[in-house]
Amino acid sequence: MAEQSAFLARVRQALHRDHGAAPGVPRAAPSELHAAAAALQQQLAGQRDTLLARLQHEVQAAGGKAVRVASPAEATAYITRLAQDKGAKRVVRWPAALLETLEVDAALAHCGIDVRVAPLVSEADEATLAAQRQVWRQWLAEADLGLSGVDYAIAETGTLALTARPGQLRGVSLLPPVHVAVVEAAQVVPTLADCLLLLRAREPEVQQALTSCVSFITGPSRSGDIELTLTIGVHGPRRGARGAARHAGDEQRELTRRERRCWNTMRAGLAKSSIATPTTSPRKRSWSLPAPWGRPIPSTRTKRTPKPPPTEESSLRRRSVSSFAAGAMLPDLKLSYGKRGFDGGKECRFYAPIRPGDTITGVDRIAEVYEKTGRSGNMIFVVRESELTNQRGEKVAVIRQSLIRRD
Amino acid sequence: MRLATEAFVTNAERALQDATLQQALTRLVNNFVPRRLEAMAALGNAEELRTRAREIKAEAIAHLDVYLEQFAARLQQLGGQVHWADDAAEARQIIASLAAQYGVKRVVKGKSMATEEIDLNAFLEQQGYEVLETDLGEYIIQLAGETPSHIIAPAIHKTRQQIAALFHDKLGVPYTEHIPEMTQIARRTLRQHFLQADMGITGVNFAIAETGSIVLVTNEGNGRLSSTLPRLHVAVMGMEKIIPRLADLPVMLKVLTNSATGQKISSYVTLITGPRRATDLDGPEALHVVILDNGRTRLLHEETREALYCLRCGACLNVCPIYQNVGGHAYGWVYPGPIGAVLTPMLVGLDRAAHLPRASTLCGACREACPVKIDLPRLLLHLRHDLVQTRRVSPVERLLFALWAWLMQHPTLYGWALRAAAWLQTPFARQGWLRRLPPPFAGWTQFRDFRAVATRPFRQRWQETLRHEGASGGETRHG
Ligand code: SF4
Repeated sequence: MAEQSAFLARVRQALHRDHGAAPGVPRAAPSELHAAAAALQQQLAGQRDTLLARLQHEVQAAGGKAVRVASPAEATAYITRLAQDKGAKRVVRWPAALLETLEVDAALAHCGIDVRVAPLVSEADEATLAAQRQVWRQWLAEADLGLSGVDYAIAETGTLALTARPGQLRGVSLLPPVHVAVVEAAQVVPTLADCLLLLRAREPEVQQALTSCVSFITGPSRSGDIELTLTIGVHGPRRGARGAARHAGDEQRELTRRERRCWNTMRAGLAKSSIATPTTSPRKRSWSLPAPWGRPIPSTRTKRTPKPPPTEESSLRRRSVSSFAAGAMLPDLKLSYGKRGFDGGKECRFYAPIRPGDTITGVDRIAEVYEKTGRSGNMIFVVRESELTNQRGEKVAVIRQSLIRRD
Repeated sequence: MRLATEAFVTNAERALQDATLQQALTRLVNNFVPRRLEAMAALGNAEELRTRAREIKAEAIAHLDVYLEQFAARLQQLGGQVHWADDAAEARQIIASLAAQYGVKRVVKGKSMATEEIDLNAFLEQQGYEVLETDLGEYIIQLAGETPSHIIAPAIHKTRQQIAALFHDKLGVPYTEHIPEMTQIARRTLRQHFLQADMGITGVNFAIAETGSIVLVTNEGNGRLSSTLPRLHVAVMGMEKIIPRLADLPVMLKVLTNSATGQKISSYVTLITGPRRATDLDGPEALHVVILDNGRTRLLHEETREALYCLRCGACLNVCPIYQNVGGHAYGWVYPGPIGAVLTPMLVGLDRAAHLPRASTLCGACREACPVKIDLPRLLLHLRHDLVQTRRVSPVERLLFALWAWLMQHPTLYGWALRAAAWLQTPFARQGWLRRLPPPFAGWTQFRDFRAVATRPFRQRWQETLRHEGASGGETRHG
């Protein structure tokens, strides 16, 4: 096994640097950290409501559920109802002070649900600890619902930050199929950077502050590993309820269900030997350019920006001249490789200037379809021609664009 | 992972014929590309973040020795242990002896490219350990006995039907194509293994020098489970994973997840600082971090250093016209796509991967997509340059280019040559395009059309324009 010194010496040599000339990370002075943290807290005090709303929104967007409650009693009622709905028999929870005040144990016990509260270990002999770890491992594996607090919640992303301070078992938010976290308004911070600042200001020593593990949790466990179809709950909580907060059922959403372009069905089944040049009824589309549209014509790259925003003006801005033609009228060649193609190049000929305020009308037609056969199979070349005219009927440009599809 | 880089051309041809793969690639492109673009646009300050992220990585790599040392020292303060591995064999050996030392029987793995790189699974299995991948995608390809075809979506090349059949065969469950059900089958199987495993092996997304922490980023939670439940946690990291400060993490995470999946953040980001503390009731009792060189010092040279800024987000794969058509397996090793075409030759030797730097159109889409702005086309050109320098191109090609260079230096001859070409092409040119050329040029037009040589060359037109403007009394410009 390599020696550290030899390993690093080789790195140093490859970097052409002499030893010792580098900075290393200076430790932040605790007093500065405290000042920064205090300033942040003060600033946040005025924004609680906005932050909570954002948090709620983002948690939902991540597939969790976030519920705002006005009182501890309401939170308790929510958690109890959720546990019952999910048919939970065993609940494990952190010994967090906030959870104590909810008196949720009694409410759950009342419904016949068994609640186990993690002990706040401060010091114990190794044998006792080992035994406790064994027991808790079992409980966590069997529990139907994990109830925790949080250290912080991050509004920007809908993320819960959970450290591993005494009693704050990692498994509570990891093993049971449902995770409920109760968040206090004062625990919500805008960003991850803010969260890290407040965390480290808690303890003089940053490694102490970070505990053995900080878990940042955003929505339930998800996977897109089968055909990129989003599914919930492959490992962690299938439904996390959060803040009396989040919960996402087993429902799945198809990520792949993007709006399909509607291609005009024109002509199918090009035979190898006989490729007809399809004659098409040309398709006409026109746009009025709003008068202030004096921006330079955007590059064709922006065409790839999906889903142009809804307003007409902004969607116009995203169009390039050549994409006047795009969209509606490529023949569905019914090729075995689907609809992906290469850009085979385009050619623009300009005949008259295009000015702000002009109305441009484009007429598209398929000029040519032909095929090439190579080692890797057939390629179909489709040449589309768009003629653009302005409101005076003058031809301003002709665009020939060829697209290559594999068959 | 077995190296099949020499076979790139045949692999690629096979991939192009594979209709299932082509459909999968279409799905990948339609999914990942717009999601990344949307997410980056929504950030508002994506450019700034990318610049910042690049600066952070640049700083980290420029002082890699110092930051690695600091990371190791900080981790050791907490009882974590650091191992240094010069190459793959050493890394495997370290991990196997850890397994022996801790009396391990069962191993669970979180998703990690570094362990693919050192081909860990096969080695541990040979030694009699039961090794299980727990990322759903990795689990699928492990069951199928295959290798990942994408950095972040390893089983992207498989259809749900194939996976359904696989689960039915290997796990003896009733056949189902319902994806949530299949996911639950995997969950049930894997959960049992998690609870029984003695050793969890993960990769590392970021290692923070300041605090001695490692960061795991996953969506499924496999990294979190693998690093929490087994009593021994071993993390394998390429030595370039270092970032200097805790405060750098938010920027790096943002560019990583937005580029990889278009998410603001992944479902689980786990920041691990040492093994469990004395009074923790869960977490692993021991944490070992294996720091891997395996050829990376070769990349530290200034010319190629930026390849080490890579976060393995996969964005460059998704936008690459080559990857989009041949998929990941064609590249023949762990890292596919543009970054693979750079890393593989550098890590395994240019001799064994000479095709890869050429597997690029140099269109620059990868550079545009990269969250740390790695100039991949420049790196590919650099490697191509090396290939030529070391005479790994055919003598005919060299001769042709020498001829071309010579012609270019003799304007009159060049003009004549073009005129000759314009005349010779007449039987083949149609509307300004060359569709088919006779041998020996037939290969050129097999897959594409060429612009015909202009019959009236630009130089002639330019002269005419000048003359014309002079005659009409217009302003004459001198170029
Ligand atoms: S090179 Fe850039 S885009 Fe490609 S995987 Fe690495 S970080 Fe991502």
